[in-house]
Amino acid sequence: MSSSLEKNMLILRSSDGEEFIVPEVVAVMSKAIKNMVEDECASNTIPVPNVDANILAMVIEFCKKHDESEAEAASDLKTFDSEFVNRGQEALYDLITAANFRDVKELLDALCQNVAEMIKGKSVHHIRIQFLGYQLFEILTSNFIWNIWCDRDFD
Amino acid sequence: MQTLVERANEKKIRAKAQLNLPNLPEEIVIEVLSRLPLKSLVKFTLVSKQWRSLIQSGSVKIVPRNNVLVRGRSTLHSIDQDFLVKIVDKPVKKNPYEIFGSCNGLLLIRIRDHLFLWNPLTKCSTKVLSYEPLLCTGYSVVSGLCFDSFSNEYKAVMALSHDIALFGGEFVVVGSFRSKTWTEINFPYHFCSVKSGPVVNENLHWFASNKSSDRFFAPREIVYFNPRMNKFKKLPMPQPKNGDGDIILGLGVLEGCLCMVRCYDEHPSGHVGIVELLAMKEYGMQESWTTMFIISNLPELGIYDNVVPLCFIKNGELLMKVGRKHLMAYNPNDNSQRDVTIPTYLDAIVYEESLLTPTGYNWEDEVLRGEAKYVETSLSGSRRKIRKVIGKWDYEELDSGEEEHRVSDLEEE
Repeated sequence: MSSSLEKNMLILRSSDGEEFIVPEVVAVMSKAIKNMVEDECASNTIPVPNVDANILAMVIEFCKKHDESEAEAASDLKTFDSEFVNRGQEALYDLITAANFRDVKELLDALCQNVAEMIKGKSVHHIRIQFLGYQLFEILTSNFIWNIWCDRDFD
Repeated sequence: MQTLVERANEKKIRAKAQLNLPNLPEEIVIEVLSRLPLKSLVKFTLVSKQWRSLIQSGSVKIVPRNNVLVRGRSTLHSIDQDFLVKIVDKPVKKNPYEIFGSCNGLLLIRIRDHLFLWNPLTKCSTKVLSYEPLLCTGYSVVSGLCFDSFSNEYKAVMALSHDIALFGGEFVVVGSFRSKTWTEINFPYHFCSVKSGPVVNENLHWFASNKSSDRFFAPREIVYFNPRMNKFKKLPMPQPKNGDGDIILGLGVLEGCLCMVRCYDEHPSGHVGIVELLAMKEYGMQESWTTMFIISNLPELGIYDNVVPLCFIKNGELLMKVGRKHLMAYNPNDNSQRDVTIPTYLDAIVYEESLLTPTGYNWEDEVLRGEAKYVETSLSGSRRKIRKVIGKWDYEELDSGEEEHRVSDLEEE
């Protein structure tokens, strides 16, 4: 136990080596970290592999806000959530992975809700290209072949 | 053409920098899809095989809502809980059909001697069984569809009776969709439900009278078919209104409880003035039968007629099927009722909205033939060209030729 550290503080180390000091109450919002703390298998530096400093900072920000504002109005928290998750798609992907891997339920909920909002009104075609990585060229080609097949079938 | 290529390139570049959902674990995709409205989910069954199987297998949970499907002579309407009436595409265009049962959002449709499973929401249908005696005229049929979660299989139950003994008199057959066979089972009652029975706890419920007594004036009891045991049994009944037993007029499911409507007062004239609606709050418990409403002033109702509770709608009214000709909304607050007029009304049945498409009955073909709805149609400019072609691949547009094919397909089979 490092003496310089206040009680109930934990150090989280990201995959690229940066360290974050967070209160234990905040850290244990992640079920995975909670389990480690409860099993006492962790010293007070907890490595968080697969999550880089940038993303880890975001996750911690989110958890802190949720911890502080427990008493606050739910609507405020909702606004914060929707603003928080409104990021570029790449960050969103990393955040989802991190939240899933670290098991932070509130964050995962907010993120999934955000993705759902994103794809809600979209067309099938749009989703294929935007989220499933289909290429337009592929679609056109297979479309052509499919049409031939269909013409035969429907004769 | 140039714009097309440009567009393709532009998309290609953009696609790389974007959130790629397939890299996400399946549970996340399920989480995301579970947050979408039903309308989007129907559309998104076309996105990819993975999404389709997730949506149709029931992994993606949706909040089930009960709708009432009203069959007219040439139309089909659905009424949802907000009392919104919508026209629904019929399962077949020309042929007469009957609805034989409803379970888990699937309807059992009879077209001549063939039985089809049909999901009115996704428009998927598949032929499951045939039963030749249905071709003979003169059979009166009581039917139902139920699901056996143990063997993961749907079963159709039909009771047929014919005035001429040569045609088998009265008998009950159970059709298994997996083995495609019909089995005759013992049914020691006179059946008197007029249409398909409701399903609670996987059991299919009918009402019937004792075999030894007269068919119509005898007291009736609720019997249920348990698909796992392939047997009919009696359900515990509430204390009868008069000594012998009750005349049951209809069965239904309200808020998950089995409900029955019985004659409240005796009328020597054979007309029923007042009926009582009871609910079995805890399934299988005799003591849990509770009176919900006592409904009076129902029009021209005889004991041959049916009063079937269908579902509650937004303003607290209860939709009911009364007799042969009426669909009514009953208001429990002031004990009033009003007619719900649907042109050429014939019959009504409750179904649960679901995207369920049980595997193993050749649904796939039907899906690929493009029954998915909620199509985007208004597009403009050069984009239309792209979409139109893609639309066909997606089967987003169902042109008349295709539909014709589907219909004739049903007719030929």
